[in-house]
Amino acid sequence: MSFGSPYFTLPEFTYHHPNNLEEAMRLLKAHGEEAKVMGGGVGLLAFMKERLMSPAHVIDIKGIRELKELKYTSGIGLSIGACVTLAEVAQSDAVKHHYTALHEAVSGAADPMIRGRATLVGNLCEAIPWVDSPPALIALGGAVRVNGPRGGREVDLGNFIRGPVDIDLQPDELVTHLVLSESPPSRRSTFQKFSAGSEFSVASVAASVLLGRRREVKLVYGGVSSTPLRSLEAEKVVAEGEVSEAMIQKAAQVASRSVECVSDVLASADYRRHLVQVLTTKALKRVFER
Amino acid sequence: MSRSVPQTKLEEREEEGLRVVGTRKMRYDAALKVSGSATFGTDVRLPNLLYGKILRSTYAHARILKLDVSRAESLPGVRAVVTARDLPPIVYGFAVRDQTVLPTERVIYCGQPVCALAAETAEIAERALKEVQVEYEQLPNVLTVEEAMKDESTPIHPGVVPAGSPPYASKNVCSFSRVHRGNPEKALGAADHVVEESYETQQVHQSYLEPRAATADVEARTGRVRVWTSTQSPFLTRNSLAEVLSVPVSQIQIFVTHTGGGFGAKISSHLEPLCAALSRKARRPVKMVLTREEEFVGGTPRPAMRFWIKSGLKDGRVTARRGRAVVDAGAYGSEAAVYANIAALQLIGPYDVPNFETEGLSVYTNKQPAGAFRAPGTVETAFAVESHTDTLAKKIGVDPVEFRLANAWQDGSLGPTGQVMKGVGLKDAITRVTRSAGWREFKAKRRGRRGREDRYARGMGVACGLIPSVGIHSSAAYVKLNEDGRVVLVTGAEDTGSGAVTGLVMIAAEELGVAPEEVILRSGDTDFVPWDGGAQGSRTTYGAGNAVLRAARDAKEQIVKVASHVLKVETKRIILRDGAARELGTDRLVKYPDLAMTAQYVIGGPILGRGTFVQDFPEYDKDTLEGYAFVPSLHDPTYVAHVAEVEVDMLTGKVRVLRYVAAQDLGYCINPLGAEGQIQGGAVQGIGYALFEEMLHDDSGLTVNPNLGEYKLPTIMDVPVVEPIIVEGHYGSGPYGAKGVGEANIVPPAPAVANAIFDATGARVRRLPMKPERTLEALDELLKPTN
Repeated sequence: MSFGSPYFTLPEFTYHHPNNLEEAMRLLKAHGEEAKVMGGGVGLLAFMKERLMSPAHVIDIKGIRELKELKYTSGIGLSIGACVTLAEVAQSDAVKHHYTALHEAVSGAADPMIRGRATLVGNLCEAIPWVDSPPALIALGGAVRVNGPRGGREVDLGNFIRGPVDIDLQPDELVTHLVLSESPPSRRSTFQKFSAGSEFSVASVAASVLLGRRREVKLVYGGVSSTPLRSLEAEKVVAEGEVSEAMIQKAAQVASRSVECVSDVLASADYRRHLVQVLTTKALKRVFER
Repeated sequence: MSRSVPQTKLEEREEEGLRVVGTRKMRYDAALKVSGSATFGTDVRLPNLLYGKILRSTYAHARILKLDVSRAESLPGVRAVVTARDLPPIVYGFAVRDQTVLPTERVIYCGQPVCALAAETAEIAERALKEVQVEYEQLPNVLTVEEAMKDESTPIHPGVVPAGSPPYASKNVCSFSRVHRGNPEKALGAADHVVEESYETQQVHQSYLEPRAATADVEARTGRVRVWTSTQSPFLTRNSLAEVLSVPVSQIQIFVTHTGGGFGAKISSHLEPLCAALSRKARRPVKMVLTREEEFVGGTPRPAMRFWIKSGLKDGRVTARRGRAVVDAGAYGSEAAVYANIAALQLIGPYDVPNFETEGLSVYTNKQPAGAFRAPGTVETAFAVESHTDTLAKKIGVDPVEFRLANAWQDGSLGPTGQVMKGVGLKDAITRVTRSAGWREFKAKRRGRRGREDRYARGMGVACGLIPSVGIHSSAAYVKLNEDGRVVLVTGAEDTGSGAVTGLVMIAAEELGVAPEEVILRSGDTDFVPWDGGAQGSRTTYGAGNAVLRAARDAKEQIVKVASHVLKVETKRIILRDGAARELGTDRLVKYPDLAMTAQYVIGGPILGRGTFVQDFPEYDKDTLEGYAFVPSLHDPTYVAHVAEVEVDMLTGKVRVLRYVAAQDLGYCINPLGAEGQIQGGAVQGIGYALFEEMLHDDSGLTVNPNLGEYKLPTIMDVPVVEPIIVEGHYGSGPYGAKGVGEANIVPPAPAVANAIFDATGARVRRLPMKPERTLEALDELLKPTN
């Protein structure tokens, strides 16, 4: 993401620090196209330093109290405000008990300092390929709640992230919450990733399986391509097959064949395809062992 | 020419009782750094300061058709733009004269400075870079040594004279060194086994915490140049700055700030010439700090190297070797020539090899110029030699530790150029480290359990190394006694973060019988401190330490004389202890404050000790050497032996270092706390080199991972606690028998980890870094049918 940047400074911008949602929406309406919303700032400030982004206005939403809430309501589900950090998500018992894949993804993301600063919604809005939480949230069927001058809307995450650094959000809109519906007790989920050391995921998989007569399966891969990818073919193998070692192996092979992987400085496409197989096996074993 | 060395051995010192040296002493600047009050190069502020920036080439090789800075110059707030025309036409380089501060006709690597400018604010300076207009005509680039050595390849420095008269016609070979002994061809013919291998190492950056930073202020009236910089060597920086600016050395004053690490990259001048040129033109002080990204694209990294190595074995001994090391020099040849020279010496490792011929050459490519990096030439060569040593042991079915012990140097062994080795602590280091790591028990327990049936395979590997306590350059020191009884130590030595200077304080305190806290360290101003070669080549404790020892002993002699006068006793009956000169066997004493006052007010003249140290390279056989020899023989080497225990994920190739034990023969250890820190730091940096770090370029020569996100340094999560072992008793000629400390510990990690992978899986990874993908390839290679 960097090209030998000579920049020490940030580009010039006006800093806004709204204390409530209405004010934030007003600012977005006024500056929309020229504004960027800042949560933890982990990604945005780095991009600005590199001049990959040069917004004239930065709207820092950290002062908005109502966006700081992580709330789990039995029978309804989970709602995570835009200012909730990864560390706060990782510490939540509700997340740990009901949304295993999310818990695993945020607990192992980056390092403690970044987890203490970065927000979950920020992760989603940045839509960077190697970030861990989006695959987990897509697998769990997450959605974002969007506020805008034309009213509120809820967008399924699979549609929200359209491509690398490309999301379904208008300049005058704000993602206020990430929402997950109540997780049935028969759901098993996990997040598995591979990295050479403590750094970006070279490949990751989030698996979610609703056990029952009709098994519902989601396998979402991160880090392998420019955007999180599902393997519908492998999901089908898992949904329709008898639970066995052979089925898991087959699903892993199918996933490895069907997920489109890229080559970059971290790994080759071939190696990523191999990792998809290794991670799929590991994830499915975990899901079915529990 | 022989010069006397302080020959006091530990034994006789112990009779007097050493009180300070040998104890675990926290570094003198710890509180300053922990509290954030130490001033680093990046912290320097001067009134009316301007901010300088560098415009860098975006091509690996191109002719500059047009360089128009007028628009940048006319931007409000821009105070100076400097191009090659503002500098004297000096072509420099200590081994190969091939370098200029700014280019006149061509750029030869991506990231090369093209011009520099200074402005009122950093923001204006950054904006002004975009206003400089450069037109290039792209030229064919060469990015690998293979390409560069082809007959048809473009010469990068046509007409430049290479170092060491290479016997090769290739246009891009820029240095040559060769070492030989006996008759390797004959011995290879007579060998029971012959093993031939190739190895490859990668380009890595020193990755110090503090990027390069300099501030210059050139006085308009006198032309006097003052520079504040974080440097490893103020005097070498002053010399090189004087050369490229064509001003007398005495016109330049260097102030050294605290330095956030250098590892070899901050020895000579780098930013300082541009900074001074901008200040001279703007008539204002100018500060320049590199970004992390600029450090990568425009730095002086450890070069990539390639090795070919062939050995003959007879009766369990290495009887013959031929070897060749090729350095990917990048854009300039001088530092690379040193790598090639050292590689030729190190290609036999610390082993008795009676017949060998080894050579090192360096080759220009259109990449960042090679620069010094902790143990240059040795780290890379040890990866090849120590991996190869394991392959040899395996070939004859001998335990790698036994094999090393059977071939290792001992006192009386011959060094690569025929010097007689003394004080060799290698076997002790090997024995201590393997015992501590539980080598035998591990191998016994694991015997027969190897293969793909387990997801995770465990293995243990050993590797050795040596680094001389470098004899190049001199050191000097002054020691003064103040009227309050405190000691002022004035040294030209600098602490880049290693903590070595704390050892100097301890030496002065020891000799003068005061607590280290009573010693005031003064350094970092070339107008006032005596000359010193700087923090490089493991030389601070060793070279500057000897100078301080002598200065302190000179001061001691003067103190004793004054005390003898005051106490009216013979000088030989006086000892110095607890801040006073005392008469032996009585309670009569004169405290230092009184003594200093007497010296200054009654007798006349201050207590002022003076010491210097310089030493030639050890005697060697000149007939063994051909070509360029910056280092012809090995000065009092420190020896290391490390053991790594690893776990290899057989499915993904990921390697985790589970345990790491590192032994180093230090002769005598002045400050165990500091030495252990160096051993641990070296091992961690070496593990990064082994498993993670690698600068990558695309086909156009652009560095594609110039940031700490994609250039992977090990974090604390990636390394185990390194268990240090200090081996003493094989004395060197440093103070109290000490040897150098700082470099040798980065040498064994890569081969130790490679050998552990080999032990765990049978797969030999021959290219660094041993990232998962590469290790998996080596594992797959094993499974291929061999026919």
